[in-house]
Amino acid sequence: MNDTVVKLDGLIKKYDNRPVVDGLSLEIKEGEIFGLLGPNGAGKSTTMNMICSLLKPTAGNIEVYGMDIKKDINKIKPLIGYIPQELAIYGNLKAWENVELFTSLYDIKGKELKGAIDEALDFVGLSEKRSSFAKTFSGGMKRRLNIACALGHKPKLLIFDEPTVGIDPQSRNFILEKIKAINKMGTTVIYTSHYMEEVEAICSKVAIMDNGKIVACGTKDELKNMVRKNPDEEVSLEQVFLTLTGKKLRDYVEG
Amino acid sequence: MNTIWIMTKNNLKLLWRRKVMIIIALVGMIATTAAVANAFHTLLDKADDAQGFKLGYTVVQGSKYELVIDTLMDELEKEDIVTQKYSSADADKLIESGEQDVFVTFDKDSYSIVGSEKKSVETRVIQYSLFNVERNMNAFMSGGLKSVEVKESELPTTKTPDAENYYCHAFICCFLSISPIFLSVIYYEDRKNRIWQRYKTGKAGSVSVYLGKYLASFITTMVVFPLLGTLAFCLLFDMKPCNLLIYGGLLALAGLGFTSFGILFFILFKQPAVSIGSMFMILWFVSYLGGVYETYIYCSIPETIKRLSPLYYLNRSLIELSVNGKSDYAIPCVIIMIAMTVVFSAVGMIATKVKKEV
Repeated sequence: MNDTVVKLDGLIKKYDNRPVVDGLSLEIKEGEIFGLLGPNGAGKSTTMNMICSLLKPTAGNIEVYGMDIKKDINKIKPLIGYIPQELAIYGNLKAWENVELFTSLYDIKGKELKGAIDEALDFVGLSEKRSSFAKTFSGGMKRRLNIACALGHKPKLLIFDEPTVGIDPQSRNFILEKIKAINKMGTTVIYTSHYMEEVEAICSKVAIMDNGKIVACGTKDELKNMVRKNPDEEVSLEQVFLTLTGKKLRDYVEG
Repeated sequence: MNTIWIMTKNNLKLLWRRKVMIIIALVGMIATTAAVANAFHTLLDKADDAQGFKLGYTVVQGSKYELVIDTLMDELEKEDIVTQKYSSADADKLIESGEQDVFVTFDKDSYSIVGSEKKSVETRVIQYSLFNVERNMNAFMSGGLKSVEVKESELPTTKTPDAENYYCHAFICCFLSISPIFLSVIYYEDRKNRIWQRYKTGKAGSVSVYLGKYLASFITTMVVFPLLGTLAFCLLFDMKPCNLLIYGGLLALAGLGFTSFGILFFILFKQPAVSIGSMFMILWFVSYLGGVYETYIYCSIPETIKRLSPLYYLNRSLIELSVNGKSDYAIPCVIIMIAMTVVFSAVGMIATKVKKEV
């Protein structure tokens, strides 16, 4: 049985002839929480945008659940839930209205839609605030609502793009616990973050990207073994990251 | 359909929760109309005073105007204009001495008008009357008319134009055309928070996204200007719209046409300020040519240029229908509005699909 959820094969994305993603090949299996790490400008967001069909690849193939993204995009879209790094919610809509609007984009209606709204808000702990305007929420609540908006259509693959930026430790912990919980229910997760401890806490497999290429990919232990000098040495994921990508500052311009 | 309905509903909520913006638009329209109609009224008051002035004239022997001069003077006399014929006279001296307010010299094929500085409105009244006589005579000479008549209705002093009625109609059309500006709040939020990403990753196509915004803008436009605006104008300025079904139908078509035109600016330009600025600039000219701001410069613009403005047809249709119950501009107006809706909506949908940000 093929349990590959996402398969990237020789993926290339160029801006002005400059490769941002350079021949990327990768497989993500069902049930994984797959961490995608890399310094700024490594090509993580570009890769995820291509999986979500926000960007078209310059070359290479993307398969999601065995379907080619070029041919079967309309079948693939309902299978993916994308949580952007920005708070992509309307402040002047109530919490339930935001979830309703973005869930309705997947042809869900009537009682099913109402049930989906309740479930998504309940999952992120915002049931009691369902009738409050999003603009009145704290940073952590907005982050949770941002996630709820991508859960309504019950995707099989969730893509999180730095979902814990700028929130307090309690909210961060809540979100990480929820990601683990949703993964236990059978959803495959792709997760990017700059917080190594988050990736270490939840990801079952990690890929490290730099300059548009995968420099290392494997389980956390496999990656740590790559830099471990002796078997007893304690190595953190951050050390692995810095060893593989270097300590030089990365400034980049988007696009 | 369900997706379009939910998107329209939520976009409507986003628009109507910015109550201040809608109130400002409505109050702005009423205040502008009141100010312009009042200014026009002042001019009309002067025109009213014009009734009762003195007109002197001479007609040279063999002048083509001999045919109509008696009829013309009879009609002017009915309007309390005291006319006096001279066999020969020095027009400037008569005006200077105050013996006459306006003096016309009818030569063989032309005429000249002299008026005192203080009686400029009266002079324009005579100028306009003679313009109409001349037009009728030319048509008669070329066989276009059976006889030369000077009708009472052709004299501007015989009928006082209702400034409020004119400007109420004109400004409802004008504000209706710029109403897609309301959408700027949604487009601004979509781009600032990159909400467009959700639309692009969702299953709903670009047509649904476009229609969700289009319908919300159209409904808001119709409620604010044709409905609330007309209601306010009827109560405040005694506006007299024509048959409500025709009035509503024409404004609905105009709403569809101008909404599809206005949305284009938000799709094509990334910055809402650029969209609003360029839309405003174009629509100002469209309004100007359409006759929303009646100025002396406007009178000198060739008719062919004025006809380039869709508002030219809309304004005239509504006003003529309101005053006369019929208008030759109505059919062209309907055709133009439908064409605008079809063309600009198609371009808008294609642009929404092609552009990275919806």
